[in-house]
Amino acid sequence: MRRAMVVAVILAVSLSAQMPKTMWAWWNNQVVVQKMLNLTPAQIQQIRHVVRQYRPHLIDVRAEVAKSEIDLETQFNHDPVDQTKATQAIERVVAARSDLTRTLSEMSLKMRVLLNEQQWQQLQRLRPTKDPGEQPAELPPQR
Amino acid sequence: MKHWTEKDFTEWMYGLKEEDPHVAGCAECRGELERLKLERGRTIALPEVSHDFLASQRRSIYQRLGKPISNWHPMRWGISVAALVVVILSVTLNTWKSTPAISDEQLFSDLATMEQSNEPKAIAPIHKFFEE
Repeated sequence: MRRAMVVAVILAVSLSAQMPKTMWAWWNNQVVVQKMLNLTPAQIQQIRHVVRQYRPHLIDVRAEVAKSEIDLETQFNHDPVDQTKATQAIERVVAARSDLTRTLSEMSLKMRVLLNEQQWQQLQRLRPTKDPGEQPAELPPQR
Repeated sequence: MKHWTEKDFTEWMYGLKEEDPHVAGCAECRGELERLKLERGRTIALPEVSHDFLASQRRSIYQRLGKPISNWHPMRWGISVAALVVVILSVTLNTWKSTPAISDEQLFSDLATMEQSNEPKAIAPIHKFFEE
């Protein structure tokens, strides 16, 4: 039963974690915004508006993912395992992670439509590949 | 008889001791007693207040009774404003302190880490068996 629960969680998480693959605060890097993407002041303003719009919910989602995972860990460490509670904890993790993916994807989509094709391609090239959340190593840390 | 001590004089001052034959016959004790009587009389004597002073005081009171009571006082407003400023500052500072400050970099770094992690921490030990 425990193995089945684990497989269910892995499948759910894998399916929900398709998009976006990486996320970093590129809009705060002046080199990226002005030199590499050549964003107009209007675009910068709109991008920042999108971030401000999603920020509060993302903070909540981050907390919910963390809390649900702690809850799941607690259920796994409980002896004997209460399968009903553990299943509920799994559902909570899946829902939280799903919300995270959905929210990040929606925010990314709103940003994408503000960028032209060239800017989007350029941003794709700047995507960090190894450390999630980290900006590309060649970029100077700016805000 | 012995001369009166300081304790004897104090008790006499508070009415706890009567004058005795020694005081009546001893010039030294009698003198001290008289001095203390004078001192006490001076202390408890009412101050002399002239009739004119009392009359002017009455006139002043009657005059003020006829006027409307004014609550205005510059210090009153000053204290109220200062209290209001303290309340606003404390509320503002409290709100500012209680708001968790998180940068975009930190927030999106955390989110990306969560997004990229393949499984919850709880199942990681069991997930390893599948990899092996």
